[in-house]
Amino acid sequence: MPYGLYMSAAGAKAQSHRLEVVSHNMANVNTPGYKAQTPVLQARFAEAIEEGMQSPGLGQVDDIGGGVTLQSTGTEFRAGAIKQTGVRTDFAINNASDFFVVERGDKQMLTRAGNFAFNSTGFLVNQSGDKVLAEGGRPIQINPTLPFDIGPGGRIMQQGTFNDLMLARPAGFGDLSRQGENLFLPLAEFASVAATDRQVTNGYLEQSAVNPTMTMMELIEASRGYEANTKMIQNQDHVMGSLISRILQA
Amino acid sequence: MSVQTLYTAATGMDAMETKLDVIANNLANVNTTGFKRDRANFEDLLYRNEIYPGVQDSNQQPTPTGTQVGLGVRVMSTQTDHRQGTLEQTGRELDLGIEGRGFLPVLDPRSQQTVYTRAANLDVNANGQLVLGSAQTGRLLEPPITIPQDATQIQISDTGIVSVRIPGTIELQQQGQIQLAQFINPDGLLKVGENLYQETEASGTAQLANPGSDGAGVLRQGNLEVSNVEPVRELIDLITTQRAFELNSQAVQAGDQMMQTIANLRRF
Repeated sequence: MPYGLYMSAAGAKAQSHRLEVVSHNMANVNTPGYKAQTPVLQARFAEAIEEGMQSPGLGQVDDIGGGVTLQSTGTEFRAGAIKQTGVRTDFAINNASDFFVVERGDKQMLTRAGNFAFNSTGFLVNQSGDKVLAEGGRPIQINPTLPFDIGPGGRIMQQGTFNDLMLARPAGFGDLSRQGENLFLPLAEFASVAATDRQVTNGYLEQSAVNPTMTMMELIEASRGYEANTKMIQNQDHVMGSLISRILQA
Repeated sequence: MSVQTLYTAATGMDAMETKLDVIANNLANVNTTGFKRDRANFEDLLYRNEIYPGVQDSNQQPTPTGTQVGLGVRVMSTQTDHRQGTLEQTGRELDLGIEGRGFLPVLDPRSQQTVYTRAANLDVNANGQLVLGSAQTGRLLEPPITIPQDATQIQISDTGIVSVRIPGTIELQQQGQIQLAQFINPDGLLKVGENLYQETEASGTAQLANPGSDGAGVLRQGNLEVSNVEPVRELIDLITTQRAFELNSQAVQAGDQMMQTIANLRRF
C-alpha cells in the first residue's frame, strides 16, 4: 500500500481527535469554572528515521515526513466571564491565577468552580461533596441551625468567629494536572494568597472559559481538515485501483 | 485553505461581543446614580507582511507600497466618559449632587482604604455618622462628620459645610466640612462596583479640595447626579454592533464554503 495512505489516515485521525476535543469544550460551554482544553499535534519523522534506519536531516529519499502524532491535551487557564447569581454560597475569583482548595480523601485539589453549599453537618462542600478548605488548611464548618453571613474577600462569619476561604496561587499552571469534575491536582507546592490580594466575592460564579466563537472556528477548521484528509485517502485508493484494473486488462 | 479568514472574522465577532457587553452594561446602568458610560475602543492586530513597503525593485527604486494582510481586531481598552450627568432634584436633605470634576471620598471598612464615588446619596448611621446609603456596607465619609442625635435639620452648603439645627438654639451649628477629591486622570481609576472608584498608579493621587475651590466643583443639596448614559446613542451603537457581528459571521461562512470547495476539488 502507498505510504501516503497511512499519512493521510494519521491526518484524518488527528483532525477527528481535534473534533473530539472541540466537542468536549463546546459541551462544557455552560460548566462553571471550566477551562478549555487544547489539542496538541506534532509532526512525525518518516518511518525509516523513527525506526533508526536513517538519520534525519540528510534529505535522502526516505526522509519524507511521517504524518502527524497526537500529544497530550493541554489546558488553557484563561479566566471565564463572571456572572451574578445572587446565591450566597457561590464564590468567584476575579483574576486568572488563583484557585479554591478542596479536600478529596487526603489530597488537596484546586478548582475554579465556586458553586459551594453547606451540607447538613455544616461543612462547606462543592458539588461533588468535597470539603472546601479555609486558610490554614482545615475544612469550613458552621452551625447549620444558626444564621451566618458572608463578607467580602470570602470571609464566612458566624457568631463572631470567621473563616476565610483558602486561596491557592500555583507557581505555574504546568504544575496542575486535570482530574475531571472541574478539579486540578497540584503536582508542586502552591503559595497561599496574601490577605490584601484576595479577589474573591460571593454571589457571583465564574462561567466556562470556553469562547464559543473561537470554538466554532476550530470546529469548521477541523472538520474541513478531516474532509480534505479523507479525500486524500480516496484519491490514493483511486490511483491504486486504476493501476490494478489496467494491469488486469492487459 | 482559507483558515485565516475564519480566525480573523472570529476576532471581529469576539470584539463585537465585548462591545455588546459594554453597551449592555451602559444600558443596565441607565438609572444608576452617578454612573459614567464606558466605551470599547478597538485596534487592529498584527499584520502578515508578505512584502514590506519600500523594498527596492529591479531599478534600485524603492517600491511605493507593500503587501500586508491584517489578522483581525481586538478591544484595545474601555474608556470612561466622565462628563457631568444631569442633576435631578430629589428634595432629600442627604442627597448631594456634585457639579464639577470632584469625587466624594469615603472609607472602605474592610480594606481601610479611601475609595471615591459620584453617587452621594448619604445617610446617617446609628452613631450619627454620615455614610453612603448602601444596604451592604456602611462607608463613612472621609473626613468623618458626625450629626448630633437631637439635630432636626441638616444643611449642606455649596462649599461643603455641614451644619445642623438643634432645637432651642437659633443659629445653625457647624459640624464639619465635606471634601472632594480630584484626579489628573480619572480614566485611570479602578471601578470596583457599588458606584465606587479606587485610586491606582494610573489615576495619580487624589487632590483633596473643599467644594467650590480649585475646580473641584460644588455640592448641590437635595439633588442627585443621574447616569450620563444616553439611551438613543446606546441603541444606535447596539444596532451597528449587532450588524457588524452579522457581517463577520458572513465572512466565516464564506471561508467555510471556500474550504469545502477546496476539499472537494477532486471528485470520484
